[in-house]
Amino acid sequence: MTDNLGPLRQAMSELSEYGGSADMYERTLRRSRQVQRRQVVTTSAAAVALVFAIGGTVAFATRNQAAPPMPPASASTSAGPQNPTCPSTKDLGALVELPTGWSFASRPVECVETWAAADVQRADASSVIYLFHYTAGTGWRFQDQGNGWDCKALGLTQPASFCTS
Amino acid sequence: MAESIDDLFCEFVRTRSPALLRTAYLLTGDRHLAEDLVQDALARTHRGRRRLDDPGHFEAYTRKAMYHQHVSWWRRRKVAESLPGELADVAQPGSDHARRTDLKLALHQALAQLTQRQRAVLVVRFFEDRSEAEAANLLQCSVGTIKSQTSKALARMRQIAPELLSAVMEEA
Repeated sequence: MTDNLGPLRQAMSELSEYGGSADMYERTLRRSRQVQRRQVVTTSAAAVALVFAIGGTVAFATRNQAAPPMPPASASTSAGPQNPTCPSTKDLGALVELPTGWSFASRPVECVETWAAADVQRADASSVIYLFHYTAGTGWRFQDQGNGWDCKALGLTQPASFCTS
Repeated sequence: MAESIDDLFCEFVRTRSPALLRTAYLLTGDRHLAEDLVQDALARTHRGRRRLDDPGHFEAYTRKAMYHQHVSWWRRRKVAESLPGELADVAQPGSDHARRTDLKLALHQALAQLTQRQRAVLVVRFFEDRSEAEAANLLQCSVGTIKSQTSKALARMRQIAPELLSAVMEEA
């Protein structure tokens, strides 16, 4: 050694003798097993907590899915493009502005495939049919007013009371 | 017949425990704490013994674990920095033995007033006689940190125990 710390090294060496010479083997094995057991318990507890957390989340999601919010009765576009839900006169009234003194008759709306027809009472007590058509994406739209239509031209395959042929 | 890994570990513990205890005593300044420190480090090696492909790595792994354990222990336990004075040597005043005992006592008290890292650096460098690079690897820090910590540790020892350093210089 070229430094002048030889005596310090010597003092450290002598001081270290106070460390003793205990047999550490049995103590080491006991300690190792104790730590291993503790690790197993900790890991198991963490796994159980994880299972409960996942289970709770799944249960919560399932419960929420079991009772989905009911669509409003007047929703007109939720039953598919080929067979849409039949609209009420109230729904149709929101789509057209009837002249003063005119109103939808109390008779139910007649729906056939993607067409809906509603009787409208004029101010002079005569009636006319309002025809509505459903398309996917836009929903129900006012199509025409009259007393009857060529249903082949409308693309209808089923009979309807508003068909003239 | 080849020995099993458990036999090799047992042999390692039985033969190297005294050396590990000596280092641990310098780190902790207390025999019981030293035994606890060595026990924890050996237990860690025992749990990882199958991963250590060569039994020759047992000692390096244990020493590294011991130094790390030492620092984390003292952080956790908040053990008082003043180490118990259990040096029970009785020596005739004025004798060479008395002088060496005084030196050990001064060193014991001085080490107690260093930080854990400074103490570890001194032990690695001047007791285990490791190079700066080896010390850096063992303590998992840079060589620059080893140099600065060594310098600070020696400066602090000169400050808190000038008689120790003067005695050292005198003997040198």
